[in-house]
Parts: sequence; C-alpha cells; structure tokens
Amino acid sequence: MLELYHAGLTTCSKKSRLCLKEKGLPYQSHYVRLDRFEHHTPEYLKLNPNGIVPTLVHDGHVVIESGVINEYLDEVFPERPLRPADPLIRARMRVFCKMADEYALPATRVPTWTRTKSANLKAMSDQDFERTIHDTPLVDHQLKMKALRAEGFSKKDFEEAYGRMDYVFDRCEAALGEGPYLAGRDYTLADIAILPYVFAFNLVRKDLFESHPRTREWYERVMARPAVKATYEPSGEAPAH
Amino acid sequence: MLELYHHGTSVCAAKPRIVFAEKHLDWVGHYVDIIKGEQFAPEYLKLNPKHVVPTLIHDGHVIRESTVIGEYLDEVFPDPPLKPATPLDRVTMRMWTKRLDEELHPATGIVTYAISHRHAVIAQGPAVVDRWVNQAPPADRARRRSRIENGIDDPEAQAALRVYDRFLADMETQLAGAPYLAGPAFSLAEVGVMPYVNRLDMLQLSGLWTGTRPHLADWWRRMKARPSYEPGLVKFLPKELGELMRAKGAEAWPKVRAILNSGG
Repeated sequence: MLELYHAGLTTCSKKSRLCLKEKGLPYQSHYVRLDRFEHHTPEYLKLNPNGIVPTLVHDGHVVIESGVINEYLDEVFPERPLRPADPLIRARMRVFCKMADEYALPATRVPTWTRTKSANLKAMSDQDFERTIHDTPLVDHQLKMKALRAEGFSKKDFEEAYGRMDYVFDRCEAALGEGPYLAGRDYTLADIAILPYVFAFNLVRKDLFESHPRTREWYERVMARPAVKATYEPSGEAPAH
Repeated sequence: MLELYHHGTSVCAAKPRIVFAEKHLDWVGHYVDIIKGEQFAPEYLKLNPKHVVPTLIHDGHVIRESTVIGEYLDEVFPDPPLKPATPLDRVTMRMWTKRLDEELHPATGIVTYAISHRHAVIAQGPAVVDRWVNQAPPADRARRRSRIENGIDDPEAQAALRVYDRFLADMETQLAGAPYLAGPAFSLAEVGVMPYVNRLDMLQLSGLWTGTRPHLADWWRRMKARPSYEPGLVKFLPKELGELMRAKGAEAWPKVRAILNSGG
C-alpha cells in the first residue's frame, strides 16, 4: 500500500502527487496542516525527522524527499515510465531535478512563506513562537521563521530569489528549444520537478512568461495533462484554505 | 572516449575519478587549474556555464554535475555496479548524495577556507586581502572580511563545522548497522562521501572520528585501502596545497575540538 503525507500547497507535495497520478498509482492521502504545525508533531517526526512534507510510506517503508520519492516510485512501478531509457537523456532529466531542489526551492520560499506564514508567525505570543522554533528541526527553517516574524525577508533576499527565478526560466527556455519537454521528447520527472516552481514563480513574476515564450507554451501543454489538472484542482485530498 | 575536466583539490572532481578506478575505465584528463582561474576561460564556460569542475565528455556528449555523472557512468558502464540492488537501498544512497550536494558541500568550502586557504590570500599581503574583500558586493564585504580575518572564530565557519560534525555523527549511526553507507555494498554513496571525509583527513582533523566514532574510523580505513583511493584522491592534489592544508589544519585542530565540545 502507498500512503502519502503531504500538504496541498507546497511545491514538493505537488511533485510527488504529480508523479503518483501520472503513473495512475492509487494511494492513501494524509493531509498535513502546516498552519497547525502538524508536521512538527512527534508522530510525524518519527516518519520525517526533518519535519517537512511530503513523506511516502510504501508497505511500511518510509521514503522522504520528493525527488528521491519520485525516482523510487518510477523504479518500483516501472509501468508508464517517467524516466527516459537513454542514460544521456536521463542525465539531462536529473540536472533539472537537481535544479529544482537547489535553485528553485530556495527561491520560492521567499515570496511563498511571506504570503502564507508571515501573518501566522507575527500573530503568535513570544512563548508560542519560542516553542514553534524549538519544534522546528531544520536550522535553516528556524532562521527564516525568525526573519519573517521580525522584519520579513530583506530586499537582498528578494533580489536573490528573483535572480534564481530568472535562472530557472532561462534554463527551461534553452532546453525547450530542443524538445517539447525539458529532457527532450518525453514528459519525465524533470517536467514534474520544475512545474510547481514555474507555477509558483508565475504568481509573483508575470514578466517571466513574456520573456520566455517557449516556457509558457510548455506550461500550457503540461497543465492540460489530466494528472496535472487533478493535482492542481482543489479537492478532498488537498483543500484550498 | 571518456574525457574529464577536473582539478586536484575539488571534492566534486574526485568523484568521477573514483568511479573510473572502481570500474577500470580508461579516461583522458583535462586539468583545469581553478587556483589560477582557468575555469573562467571562454572555452571552458561553453562546456560548463557554472564554471565549476568536473565536466565529463563521453563520445562528444557533455555531462555536468558530479552526482549526475556518477549515476550516468553507472548506467552506461554497469559492471561492477555502484548502485545498490534494491530500490530502498538506492533511496538511502540518494539521500546521502543529495545531502552532500545541498548541505555538506557549502559547509566544506567554508571550513576549508577558514582553516587553510585564507592563509594563502593573507600571505600575499594586505593589498591582496583588500582586493579579495572588495570583489564582493558591498553588503557582503563585512562578512567576507570577518571570514578572512577570523577564520575558524567566525560564526559562519563554526556553524559549517557543526554541519560537518552532524554529518559524521549520522555516518557513524548508519555504519553501526551496515558495512557501507547504503547497505551491504560499496556504492555511489561512498564515491560521494569519500572526498569530503578525505578533506577532513587532509586538514588533520581525523580526531573527529578516531577513538570516538569507531564504525566511521573502520569505514575510512577500508576506503583508503581501496585501489580507487590513490587515483581518486591523492594523485592529482597539488603538493603545496596539500602541505598548506596539513600545516594549518594541525594548528587549527585544538580549536576545532574546543568549538565542537562547547555545543551550541
């Protein structure tokens, strides 16, 4: 049995749901309320010591990190493959998956956390905030939460994030000159890894699609996929709140 | 044909060299002297726009990112395999390589600089130090000066040292239950981690495991005994840089130990 602990709004949760749905794998959904800090409860930390989503549980085995989860799913359930057979194209796919984790994820946190976490953190009593920080396993997240409660992310943080968004879009635009998808001919884990970030960046940077027409076409093409629609539509498994 | 653009001190460039040796693959090297700035040469930037080593060229195809290169080489040259046999062990392997790329790699640069490499800049006199500081954007200059002047006393360097120490602690836990990082066999997890443990060893910081982390100590002894150790991690190291790391690392060790013992 497959179980996924996820939060509808996060980019990494979407990555794993996109993969599961694309492969047509049924799974039991456990929706984790980040605004209630359900990801910091002792029960959840037993599954995911980093206190982040998503977490996959497959027949009792725990797999964390969306990129690792997706390669695992494609290895264990090879039907409807999402990794190219050619090692060279697979390497191209993995470069995009790495870029999602190392460049896109840090960039998306700056505007997204400002929008979704800032008010909540500022409204807390000092005591509640101290406890929340204490319960947050990742030091990097602690620092960001402290910054958000104090004066918010700095101008420099935003500039750096926007620079990363430019970089990700530039890389997509260059790759899409060769094929309809990021790794070439086929829809792969590269498209799944990058899509949630392109979606999120577009919310705050409307200019990017204008300067990156191929990326815009790619976005429209992949958003029309049934699995993508099912992931993005508000539903019982991921309520829009 | 396999061609590798690489350098002797780069942790990432060591990984494909280890894979070549483990798989007995012939390769042609192109040495990019990153100390002299050769990674910024226009011809190299065409191959690697991020101006980092390594870059692999396989029959004319360019493959970048050492972790991606490792998986690629194992898929194209599967014998002997360097990915674990089971999907769950491959998950463990990828958790290590991911953590290297995202967590330990930045920490390694900071620690190496704080302990050793800043002395090479300082030795060239105050004018060179100023130039080095002023290369940074204005908002970063104070931090940069602190890093060069304070070395391991700099809070950022101490945080990086703690990242390293936590990583070693997790290795010890893993190796207490299995002979290798991703289960019963040597894998790309070892290929990835070896250069980072070697860096500490070169900096004379093996006290971070000797006597206190027996499984890690035993693992490292086994890694150093492998035929891939010398061509991967020793052969290409510039002699004077190795000497600087040894000398400055030995000086720093008492302080490193005190910082890590103080917790925080």
